Amino acid sequence: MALYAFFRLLVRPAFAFILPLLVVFFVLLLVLSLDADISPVHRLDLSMVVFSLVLGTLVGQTVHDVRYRFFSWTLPGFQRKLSATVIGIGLLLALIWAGSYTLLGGEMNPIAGFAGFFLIFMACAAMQRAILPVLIILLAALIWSDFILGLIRAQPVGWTAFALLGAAAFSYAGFNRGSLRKILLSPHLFLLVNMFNSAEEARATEEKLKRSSHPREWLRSFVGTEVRDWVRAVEYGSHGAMSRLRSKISSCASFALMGFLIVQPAFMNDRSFGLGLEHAFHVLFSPPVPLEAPIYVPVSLFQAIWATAFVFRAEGFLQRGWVYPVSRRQRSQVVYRMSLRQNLRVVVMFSLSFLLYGGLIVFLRSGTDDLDFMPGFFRGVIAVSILLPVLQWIRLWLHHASSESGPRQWSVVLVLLGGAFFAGLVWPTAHFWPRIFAGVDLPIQASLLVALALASQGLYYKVVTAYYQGEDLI
Amino acid sequence: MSAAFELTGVSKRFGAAPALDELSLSIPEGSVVGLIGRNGCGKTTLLRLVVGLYLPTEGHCEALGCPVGKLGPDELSRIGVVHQESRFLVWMKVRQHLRYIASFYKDWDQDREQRLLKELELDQEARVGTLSPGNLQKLAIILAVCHHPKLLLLDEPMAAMDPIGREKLFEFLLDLLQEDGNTTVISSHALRDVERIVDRVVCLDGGRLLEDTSLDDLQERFARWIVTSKNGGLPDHFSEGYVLEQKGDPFRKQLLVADGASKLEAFQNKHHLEVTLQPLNLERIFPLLIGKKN
Repeated sequence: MALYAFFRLLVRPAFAFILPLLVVFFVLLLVLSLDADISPVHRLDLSMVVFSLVLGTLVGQTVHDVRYRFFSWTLPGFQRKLSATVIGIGLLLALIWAGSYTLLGGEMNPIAGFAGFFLIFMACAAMQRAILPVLIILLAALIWSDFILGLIRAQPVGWTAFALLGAAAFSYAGFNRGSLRKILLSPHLFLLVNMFNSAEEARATEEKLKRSSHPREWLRSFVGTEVRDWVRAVEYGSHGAMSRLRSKISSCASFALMGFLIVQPAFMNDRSFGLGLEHAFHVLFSPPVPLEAPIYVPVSLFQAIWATAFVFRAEGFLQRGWVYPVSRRQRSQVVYRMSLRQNLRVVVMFSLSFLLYGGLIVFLRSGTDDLDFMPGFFRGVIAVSILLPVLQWIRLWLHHASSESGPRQWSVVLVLLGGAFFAGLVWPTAHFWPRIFAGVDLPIQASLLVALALASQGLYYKVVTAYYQGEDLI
Repeated sequence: MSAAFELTGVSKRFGAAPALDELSLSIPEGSVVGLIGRNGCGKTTLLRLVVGLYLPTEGHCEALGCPVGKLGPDELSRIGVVHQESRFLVWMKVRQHLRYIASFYKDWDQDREQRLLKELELDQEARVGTLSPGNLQKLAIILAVCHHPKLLLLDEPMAAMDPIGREKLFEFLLDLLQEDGNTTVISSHALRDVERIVDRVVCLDGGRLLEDTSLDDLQERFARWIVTSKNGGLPDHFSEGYVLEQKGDPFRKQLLVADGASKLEAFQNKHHLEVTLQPLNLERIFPLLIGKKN
C-alpha cells in the first residue's frame, strides 16, 4: 500500500473534523505557552508524547477499518504493505521530531525515536479496539511524561534499543496474519460483517457477544406511560437490567484509577506530585494569574476528562430508527431526564473524588488536614453543573446528526478532545469567578451561580425539545 | 373511507439531493398496497416519513389522522413497521427481545407471537446477534404484527428469506389481513409475491408518483395481445401509439399494449386479424410503467 493511498484513507469526514482540530490544538498550545516558564525542549517533549499517541490512535483506527473486511484478506501483500506503511509513518514522525529537537535544542535528542515507538504502539492498540486501555495509556503517559522522559534521558541508548525492539514486537503482533485469520473466520463476525456495512460495528457487536455477563430478564409486562418508565426501558435496552450495577462498578473503577494516578506520585515524592499534569495544564492553558489553589488543578483536569468520558460513553437515547409508541415530545423528555441523571451522577462522583483525593493529597503533602482547597472545589462543582449541558448537547448532535459509524468509531479521540475542551472551560470558569464576584456577598454569589446552573439546564431542555420536534430520528 | 395516511405536496431532501419530490398520495384504510419502484426511487423514505422518523422538508404528511411530526403513543401503538435493515439489540436472546418490545404495547398478542415463532421456525433462545439475515427479518415481522397494528408498513420484508420462509410468511400475511383487516403497505422488488396480496399499486420513480391505482385497473390497462392474421401475413410493424412492444413472426405476434382495450375492435378491423387477450402480471407491467413514462 502506497503512503499516498493510506493518507487517502485518512481523508474522510471524521478526520476532516479531527485533524484540523488537532492542528489548532497544537498551534494554540505553542502560542499560549510562549510566556510560560517552560523550556522549548521540555514543551517539545510533552508535545511528542501527546501528538504521537493521538496520531497513532487515528492511524490504528484507520487500519482497523480497512483490514477487517473480507476483500482485504485476498489482496496480495496487503497486510505486509499496511504494516510497512504504519512503520514508515512512525519513522517519519521520529525524523520530524529529531529535526525539531535539533532546531530547538541545538543537538540531536535520542528521545525523538520514541515518537515512532509511541505511534506504532498506539496504532497496534487501537487496531485491537482496546479503547479503555488506550485511554488509560494516554492519561498515564500524560501524567508520567516527565518521569518517563527522565528515565529515557538517563539511558538513551538502552531505551532506544528497547523502543526499537518494542516497535518490532508490537508490529509483528499487530499485523500477524494468523491473528487476523482468527478474527475473520469467527462465525459470529462472518454473519455480522454481512449484516452491517461497517466492520467496526460488526466487531463491536462481536465483542458484545463475547461478554460473559448476561442481562437479567426484563420483567415488566407493560412499560407504562410515565417518563421514568421510559428511562428505565432505555437503560435496559442499552445494557440490560444489570446496567445500574455495571455503571456503578465502572464508576468505582474509574474513581479508583483516578485516585491511583493522582495520589500515587504524592507517596513517591512530594516534588513529583502531579508534576506531569500540572506541567501539561500550564502548557495547555498558561494561566495568566497565579494559581489560587494549585491542588485542585490536576484533580479538576482529571475530573473533567472523566466527566467527558462518562457523558460520551453513557447511553441516553431510545434506539434510532425504531418506531416506539412514544411521541417526539416524550422522546425529548426521556433524553433530558437521562441527561439530568447523568449530571447528578457526575456531580456526586466529582464531589466525592475531590473531597477524598484532594483531602488525601493535602494531608500527604503538608501533613495537615488543611481544607484551603474547598472554595476551589465548590466552584469546580458548579462550573461542571453549568457546563455539562454543553457537553450533552454535543453528544446529542453527534448521536443524531452524524453517520452511525463515525462518532462511535472515534470515541477515544472525541473523549480526549472533549475532555481537554471541557477542562479548558471548567478551570478558567471556576478560576475567574472570584474576580467577577469580587465584593459580592457569598450567599448572593451562591444564588447567582445556582441560578446560572438552572438556566443552563433549562436552556438544554429547550434545545432538546426543539431538536426532537424538528429533526429526523434516523 | 378515511385515509390511513396522506401526503400532500411532500418533498424530502437530504442536503441538495431530493428523495421525494412534491408527492401527493392518499391511502384509504383497509387497503393493501404494493409500493414499487426502482432502487433509490424514494420507497423507504416514504415509509419512514409515514411513521415520523423523517419529517418532510416541504408539504404535509399525516398518518392515522395525525401529522407525522406529532404522532403520539396512541397513533404509534397502532402502527407496525418492518425496516429494510433491522437494528436490534444484539445482546438479547430472541425471547428477551420479544418480551422487551412487548412491554411497550398494551395489546400484545402472545398467542400470535408463539404461533409465529413456531410457524417461522425461529429459535427463542438464540441470541439476536447470531441470527442470519433471514431469521432477523422473521423476528422483525413478529415484532411488527403482534400488537395488531392498524397500519402495517413492510419495507423489503422478505429480501433475505428462503423460499419456504417466504411462502409461510405469505400465508401468514393473508391470514393477518383477514383477521385484522388492517392497512398494509408492502415495499418489495419481489413483484410476483407482492401481487398475491395487494389490491392497489403505488409506483414511484425519481421521488415522484408515477402510478397510484388498483391492481385490477393496471391489469386491464396493460395486456398482452396475441395476434394472428386472418388472411396471410401480418404487418412488419404496428405503428399504433398504444403498442409498447412487439415481437414474433409474420404469422403470429405478441404485442404489449397500454390502454388499448377500447381500441381493440378498431385495431382488429383495420388489420384484419384475430386477437387473443392475455393478462400481464405485475412483474411484466412494472417495466412497461417505467418505460412508458420515459
